[in-house]
Amino acid sequence: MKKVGVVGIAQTRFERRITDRNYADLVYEVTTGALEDAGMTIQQIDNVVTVSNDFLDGRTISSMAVMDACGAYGKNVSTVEGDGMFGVVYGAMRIWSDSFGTTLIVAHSKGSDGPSNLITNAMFDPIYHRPLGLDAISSAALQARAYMDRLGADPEDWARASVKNHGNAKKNPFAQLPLDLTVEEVLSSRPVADPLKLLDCSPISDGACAIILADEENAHESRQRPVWIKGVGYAAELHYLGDRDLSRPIALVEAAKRGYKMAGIGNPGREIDFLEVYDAFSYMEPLWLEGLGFCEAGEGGKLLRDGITELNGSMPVNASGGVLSAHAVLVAGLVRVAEVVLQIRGTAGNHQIERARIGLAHGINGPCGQSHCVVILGDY
Amino acid sequence: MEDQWRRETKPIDFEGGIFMPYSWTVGRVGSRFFIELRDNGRIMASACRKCKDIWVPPRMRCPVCFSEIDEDAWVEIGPEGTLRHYTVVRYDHKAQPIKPPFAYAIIDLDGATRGFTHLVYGTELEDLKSGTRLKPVFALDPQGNILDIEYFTPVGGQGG
Amino acid sequence: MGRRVAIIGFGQTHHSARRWDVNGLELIQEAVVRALDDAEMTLEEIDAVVIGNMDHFEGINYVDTWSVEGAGAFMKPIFKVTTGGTTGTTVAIAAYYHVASGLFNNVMAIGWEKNSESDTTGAIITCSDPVWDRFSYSGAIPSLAVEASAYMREYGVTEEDGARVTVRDRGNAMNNPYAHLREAVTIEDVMYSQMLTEPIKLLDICPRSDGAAAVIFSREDVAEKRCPKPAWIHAVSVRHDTTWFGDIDYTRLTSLEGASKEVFRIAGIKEPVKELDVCELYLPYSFAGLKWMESIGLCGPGEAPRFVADGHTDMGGTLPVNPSGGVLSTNCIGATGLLRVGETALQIFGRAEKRQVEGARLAMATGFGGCFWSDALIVGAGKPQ
Ligand SMILES: [Zn+2]
Repeated sequence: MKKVGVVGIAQTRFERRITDRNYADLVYEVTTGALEDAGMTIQQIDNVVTVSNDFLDGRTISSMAVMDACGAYGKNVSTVEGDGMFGVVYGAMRIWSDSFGTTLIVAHSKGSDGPSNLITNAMFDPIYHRPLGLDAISSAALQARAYMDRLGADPEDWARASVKNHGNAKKNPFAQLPLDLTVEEVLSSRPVADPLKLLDCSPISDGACAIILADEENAHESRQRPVWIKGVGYAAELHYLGDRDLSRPIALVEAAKRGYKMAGIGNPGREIDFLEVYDAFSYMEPLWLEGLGFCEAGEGGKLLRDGITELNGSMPVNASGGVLSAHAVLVAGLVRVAEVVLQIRGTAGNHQIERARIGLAHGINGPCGQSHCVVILGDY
Repeated sequence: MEDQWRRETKPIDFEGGIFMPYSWTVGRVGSRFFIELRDNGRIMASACRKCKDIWVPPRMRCPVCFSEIDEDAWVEIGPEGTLRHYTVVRYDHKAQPIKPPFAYAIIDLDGATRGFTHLVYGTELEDLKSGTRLKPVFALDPQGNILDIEYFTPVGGQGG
Repeated sequence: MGRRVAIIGFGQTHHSARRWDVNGLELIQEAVVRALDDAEMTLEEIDAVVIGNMDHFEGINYVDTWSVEGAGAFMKPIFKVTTGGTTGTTVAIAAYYHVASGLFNNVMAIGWEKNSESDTTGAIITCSDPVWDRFSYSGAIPSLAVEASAYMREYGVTEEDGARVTVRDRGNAMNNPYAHLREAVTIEDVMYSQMLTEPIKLLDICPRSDGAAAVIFSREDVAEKRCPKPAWIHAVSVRHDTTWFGDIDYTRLTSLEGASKEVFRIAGIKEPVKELDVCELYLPYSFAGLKWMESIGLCGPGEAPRFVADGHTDMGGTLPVNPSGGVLSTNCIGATGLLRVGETALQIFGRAEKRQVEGARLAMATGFGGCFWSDALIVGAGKPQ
């Protein structure tokens, strides 16, 4: 299988509501930004994968709205509806198939345009679960409780993820919520759905992100040193919440296993330098670390307590501020990849990690991380 | 010139929406579940003989091994059950059927091996915990849908 | 082109106006089980799934995760691709890339729709920009009517010319036990059917159906071992047009021109009418069966009415088009494009029964959707270069 690397990235600044640009404008902004970053022209891009969602955009065939803006005219193009991470995997597949040399992947969303509770309510089964009013927050709260009930997880540990990530966001100019917080402030913030408090939850955000993938031959055309994709893995478990053990992210275990195998990683804790995980809620950071095999089940909180996941810790997690600090749905997965690339390039600025040669980006689809995707990137 | 125009004007938001009624097919399997619930107040589940799993709501095929589950393999479960996990909801939106605070719970109905997600109400929500015994409160005017169980409430508690 | 990929199994539901007996998940299961049976494969052998439909027809967000138990995707890699009407062909093309990438051996492509659950046109009109043109010029029928009018005026084409396409496809559907509308019609029936938007009448346009399709794509060695006559993928291509219906060049279907040129180049096809044995074209309305034949390059500008009237595209003709009955007989939108691909594979397998084109060895499938977008695939009995 030939090498595929990231040669261009761009993201918008994430905001609660962007009023002066519509989502096509955002797509245009990151498309031109990624091309500029790569030192390439749109003519050098031979195929495009867009990532969007009809519910978020309030529009059937939402990709139609951005075909002009991403320069897809006259090119092979398709659309993934799901987290941006799946767009990256599909974009890479298209190159691995020897059909293309350079893929542009672009994701957009404007959470502020629609009612996010109703949009996430629509991901539940319309007959059995949607009438109950479940949404992303209340289902996540059930998972947080399952994590406590089954594995003795402590909300105080999650609060540390919120403190750390909002603190990291202060060093990231694209983040929406840079905050100085204490664990006490998180724990005493407004209860939303027990055990989750307001500061355990990610915000609603507007924004976009684009990345350009290239094979070795085409990567030479770029002015960037490529950050190579070393492995990808994804998998899904059952949908109905009651059918799952919410405290055990088995789909993530499977996705990670596939990604590690492809990347030739035997001991992720030693071989991976840092992570960008999909912390839509604070408890997700330790839970996903367990699923990714960085510790035993139930021990994710300890990694936070011991400061291992801090920016200057031995395994930094979400140096960017993570999804807790900017959550443009779909886009957030693509941003995880972009942030890993920034770190490996050594151009992350104030949130640069000291040792960043191999990084893992992670994204989710569906309620409570029903489907997971990991992409492992490295400098060789 | 343009900068000045931008400073002095506020961009326009267009207020619109998509209003789409749906008529979701419940199907043969789901209809039997709802008709049993509506007419007889019984909660049915389907058993996969291969996996020994008891699925609620019943399925046409086992979600794990994909083998067909015939209707002889249906069993009545519950109606009481044990609370597995819960959350007390303290914010509201239009899709919620009752006003918060109320709870969502994953309930292990007696006889099932997989959980059932529903509402818990009509009790001191602070007293809920993993292991609380729950019973369904049936709607007075059942319609053949999931809210024919209005909510679950602790056995021996008020409500019901 | 990288690794060789072939289709080795195809399953579809019996399509109808409303499948009241199954919900969406159960409908998908039906197609999946039939595809597995067709390929003589077990679910365990499928190592990834790609699924597609259009969100607002069923109002389900994140169909990839909702459908896991329907797709048989428990603990498997799955994601969703969706591009409007071309969704089904996009799913097929994605499944091709899945296998060609070397990541997977056997990939299940699923397209489905339960169009009975909502107002199809009410949903489609929301594809247009909410600020600018959702009020005025939106949905499928008006833009297609404009296209047909422009074409008719340019070449002096008549409504009867269009009607012949409906007559052919609906006639072919009589041979397809899975088709939704299985009732032959005459030119008079079409001409006297209700006028919707000039020149499009009720029988000029596709129905809305409930249905699902599943197609199994396999790696070269698996395909050779498991399938007596694999349907090899020779070429795939996608072209989208602009974002706005007002920017489309209605005198040509440039996206289909582009996609056809690309697949013919990759597959080394120089004279498509001679070299192709059968086509399953996404013709959502009758006049497409004229003008788009020209866009593909199957006949010259303005020549399609004659070509069709002379019977070249009939069963037994030079190049039979839509033996299955096509989109004019069955339209479960997210599945529609995948049905085209599955039907071409069936022709190559030689298992199309009453709708079989004798000795079919090279076939073309197309998709249409979005803002005049096109997909094209070439499927053949011989191994690609
Ligand atoms: Zn089973």
